Amino acid sequence: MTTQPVNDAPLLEVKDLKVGFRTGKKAVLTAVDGASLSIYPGQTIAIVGESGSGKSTLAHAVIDLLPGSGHVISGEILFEGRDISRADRKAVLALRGSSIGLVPQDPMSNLNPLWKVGRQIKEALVANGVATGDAADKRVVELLEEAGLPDAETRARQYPHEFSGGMRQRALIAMGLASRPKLLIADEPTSALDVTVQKQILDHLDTLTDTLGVAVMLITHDLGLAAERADHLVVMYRGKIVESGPAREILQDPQHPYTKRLVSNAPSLASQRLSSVRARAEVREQAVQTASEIAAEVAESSSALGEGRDDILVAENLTKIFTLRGSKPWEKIDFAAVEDVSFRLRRGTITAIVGESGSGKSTVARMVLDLLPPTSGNVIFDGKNVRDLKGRGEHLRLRRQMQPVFQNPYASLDPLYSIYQSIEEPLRTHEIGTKKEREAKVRDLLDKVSLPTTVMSRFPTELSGGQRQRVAIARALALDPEVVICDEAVSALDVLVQAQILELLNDLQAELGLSYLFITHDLAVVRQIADDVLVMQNGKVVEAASVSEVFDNPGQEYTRRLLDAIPGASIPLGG
Amino acid sequence: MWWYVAKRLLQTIPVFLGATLIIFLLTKLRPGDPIVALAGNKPISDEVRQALRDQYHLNDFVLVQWLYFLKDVVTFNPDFVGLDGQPVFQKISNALPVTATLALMALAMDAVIGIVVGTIAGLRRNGWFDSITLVLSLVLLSVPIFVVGFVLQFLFGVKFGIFSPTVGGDWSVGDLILPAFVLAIANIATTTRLTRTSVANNLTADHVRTARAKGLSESLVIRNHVLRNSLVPVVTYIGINLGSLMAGAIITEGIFNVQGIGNLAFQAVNRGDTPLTVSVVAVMVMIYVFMSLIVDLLYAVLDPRIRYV
Amino acid sequence: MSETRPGQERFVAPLDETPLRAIDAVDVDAVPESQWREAWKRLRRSPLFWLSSVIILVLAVMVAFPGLFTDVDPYARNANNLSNQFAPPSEGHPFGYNFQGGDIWARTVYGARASVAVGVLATIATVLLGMISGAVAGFYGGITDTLVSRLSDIFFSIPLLLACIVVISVINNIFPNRGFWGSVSVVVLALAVFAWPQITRQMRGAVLEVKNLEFVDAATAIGASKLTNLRRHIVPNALSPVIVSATIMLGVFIVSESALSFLGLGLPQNIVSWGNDLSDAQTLVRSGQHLVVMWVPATALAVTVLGFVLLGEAVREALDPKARKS
Repeated sequence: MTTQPVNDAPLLEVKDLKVGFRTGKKAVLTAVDGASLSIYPGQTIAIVGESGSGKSTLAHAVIDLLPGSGHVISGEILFEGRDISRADRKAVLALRGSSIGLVPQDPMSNLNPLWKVGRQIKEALVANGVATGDAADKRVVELLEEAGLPDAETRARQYPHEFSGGMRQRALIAMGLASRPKLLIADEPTSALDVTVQKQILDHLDTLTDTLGVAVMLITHDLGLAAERADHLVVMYRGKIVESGPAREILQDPQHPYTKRLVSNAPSLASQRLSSVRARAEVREQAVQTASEIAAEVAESSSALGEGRDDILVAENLTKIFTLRGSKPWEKIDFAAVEDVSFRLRRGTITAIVGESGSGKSTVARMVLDLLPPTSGNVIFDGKNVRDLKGRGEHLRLRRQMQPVFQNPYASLDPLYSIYQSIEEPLRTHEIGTKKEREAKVRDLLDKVSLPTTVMSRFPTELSGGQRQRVAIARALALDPEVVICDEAVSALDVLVQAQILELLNDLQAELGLSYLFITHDLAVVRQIADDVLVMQNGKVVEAASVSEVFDNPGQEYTRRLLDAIPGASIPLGG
Repeated sequence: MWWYVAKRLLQTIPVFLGATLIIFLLTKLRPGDPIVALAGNKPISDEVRQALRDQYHLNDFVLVQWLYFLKDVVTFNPDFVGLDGQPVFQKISNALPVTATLALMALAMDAVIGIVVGTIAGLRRNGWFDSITLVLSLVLLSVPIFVVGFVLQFLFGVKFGIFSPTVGGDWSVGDLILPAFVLAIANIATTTRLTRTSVANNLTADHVRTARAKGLSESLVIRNHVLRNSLVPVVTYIGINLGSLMAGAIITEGIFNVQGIGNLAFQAVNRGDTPLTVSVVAVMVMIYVFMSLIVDLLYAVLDPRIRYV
Repeated sequence: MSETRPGQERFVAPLDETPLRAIDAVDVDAVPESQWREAWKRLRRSPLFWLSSVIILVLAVMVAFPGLFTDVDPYARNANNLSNQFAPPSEGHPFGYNFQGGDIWARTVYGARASVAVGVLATIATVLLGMISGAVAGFYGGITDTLVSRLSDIFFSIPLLLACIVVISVINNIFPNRGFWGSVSVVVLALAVFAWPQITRQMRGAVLEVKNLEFVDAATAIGASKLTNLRRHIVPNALSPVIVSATIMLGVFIVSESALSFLGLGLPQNIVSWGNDLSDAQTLVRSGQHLVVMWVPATALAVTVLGFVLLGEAVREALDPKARKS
């Protein structure tokens, strides 16, 4: 067991730490409860947990930057053997930057927008006595280069708003490492970035901290990413550490039920499981059957818009060009957000559109939903070209048959409407049923999305993100649509909640024969839920194929890059 | 950026035209022949009356009269006279310096007191200083400016004799200290509140936490990252107020008998002197438009994110 | 595989110390709370709100039933008696008499009506004008927005007090005698016509923000028409900043009325108002005598405005989305 030198002392030792926030005169909310962990010099450990698990609070306690009324209640934080939780301001100040560095979470808000990037890094050098004057300026350029920022000399003289998200995160890494700390706290350093950028930056951070011998405390919600990057894992749940140990051991043999849940539900890990593919095939079979029955009815009926075709939704050469203003008043710049996108959605199946930010995937969704007129191209719903719809009546019929579920669970419900009002609104708008019948329908819908009817009188702010998304799904189903467009519908949710909602969507599809157009940035989710995939980049479709084809045999370099960037995909799982 | 300035200058044209037209038409609604009012009690022959009506273009269609007015204003016609026969621009240029000085002094007091007090209150949010400042600023916002004016005039001018209670035509900067303070009071209260909120919000900003994590001392964090960022909205607010301060000077000038633009406007309106009234309004509008342009440009200097397109 | 170091051994927390909860369980016992109700709950806890409520309540009673506060009616024909000039306080006349021999306290009580009428009506008119124009400009955008924005620029560029002076002076010359409500409506008109752009800008900004939120798209996708969407979703959600402004504006308008009266261009002399009484008092103040003539209406005015400013402050805090999160 002991090939490791024994004199190797931990760099940071957290012992039985308890952190709380004052919520009232005497009330204290405990955010971290009895946490203990050790980090050795040069080692990378990861703290994994969902939002509210206390992982960020733990990290902020280490560097004494707890927000608001946060304070250490009991326990010790030993840095190189000295307890810093009781140290005075001056001692903590001496540690910050020079011994413990921080790479914060959101690159957009963590740089001061009013100062040049170079100056903000220089500030750290000067404050920690590393360098001053011209020497510091030179060092700043070196640091930016080291962080992988090309053309560093020019970049140092630019303002944060001239940087992309990835570049800002690189600048923040340069800042965190500027004074060569012994420990770097990386608080979700890449969760705001696209997957391919995320991979690049984490790879770079890995190499950098390895060469410099910096220990890293990586805070993340992504178990796959944690296992890929760290040797030692700490899993937190509701303020407590539920499991910790060597990364692979935990992944292959999780012991605590919470860790088991995480391992089985993390999309990046679950996507390699064949079981999920098999389950999906069953759901599809059932859904296609139900859908064909509905199609037969539709073909007979005169009130429905469509003709009961097999391709319920077809996009033909969709293009959207936005005209932007140039720097001179008469200058106009055409920007093609979507270029020549075609696809077909078969009844009872799921087509996913995958792409990073700026790929135009959401613009496609808005055009399909008839919320944004396409510059050219057609959307054909069940044989009917949306362009040729006449009058409000036909448009309303289209709306009834195609409904959206949007990304942001905090913005997709009117905060002033009760849950009942929100779900009832489509029924009221289409003047369906009496008041009593509508209430019965709302109850039925809530039951379908597994919410108790007691939430009817509640308001969106009182529900969690996942619960709101259920309400949004119930609202979308109120009109008995045939197609549901999910625009990043699960992206803002915690892993476990996300898995739950995906399961709900699957169940509903099997039961109601729905067809989904599923828009997402997360290729890992696609494998769990979709049948066909459209990969988009810069407004164009780069690859369109079935899910298994894309995963097993990607035809395009870009698709391969996306697949490679799924964190933790290469880690073999046990069980 | 020059395109932006050009565009903004172009935009001021309709504002200027619209504002003068509105006031011009309003004053034209006043009943009675302005020439009769001009002559006062003296009997006036029809020929003289017609000659005067022609001179003031009173026989033309009202919009044509407005165009004549515009021509005179745009060319700064020195022969452009008010109803009393006095050149309008000379009157305005006599009255403008004292009001401008008054407003600028008020602006300076507003900036210094508002920012200093607001910053201290914001840094010590919910402390005793903050609470006192809150109460004081709300009270100052509530007391009418002329009541404060009279009280201060009585105390410092009459009772203690520190300042001269009235200013009069022959003014000096020292005479204007008291009126400028009275003029500034309401703005000081607002600036204080704004600075306080801005500082308090910035204290919890993410980039401030990052600055702390870098190892910066508290005083550096406050100076470079909290104050600098907090001042952007405050400076904008203070700048845009120069126009409203000049207009607000009507009351202050009345209390302290300052022979400024507010006084001039008040007399012109009361006499029904259309050329003078509309000219004064035109000057005020120009000052407002000009100041908002300056403030916008200043904003770009303070905040590099603002780009002009 | 690297060796395990001290402090990093495999650890599994006992399940009884870290019980699992159902994923994303709904708290079924919670009481429903709409945003407005939540704001009201916060408002109830605010001492500022209660202080302002007391002030406004007393004011409201004073406006409706001035007879409860004094037995003297300053509108009565024999209300002013020159033999009472500057007479000291006496039974039923707690502050004595003014220059014309009018009862200072009675005039202050009856003066509330004019001030409050101007403040309330001008606020209603301004908010209606500003809300409608701002909502239309922000929602429809394009040429409508340009037109409304330019128009509001024009009205905004003319200083409020100066514009009011011009309007009132002209109307005074057209209709010299207008009675109480006629005079009040002229001041209201002058204030509203030149103050609406402030609300317009605020409403326009709020509508622009709200109209891009996903629930608006969701409502469109349901089939709600543009107007329904504006009425049911956008305007209600854009309202809070306007409510705060309106409350503070009420105080500002009351001060403006008194400032106009001070210049002799507010309400005519035959109407009992705080502005007129203060205007009358100005010559006395210069000499430093009979200051009570100024103090009583000035205090009434200041307390009234303070009431609305405090209310605005309390409402702002209650509606602040930042406060909501905690």
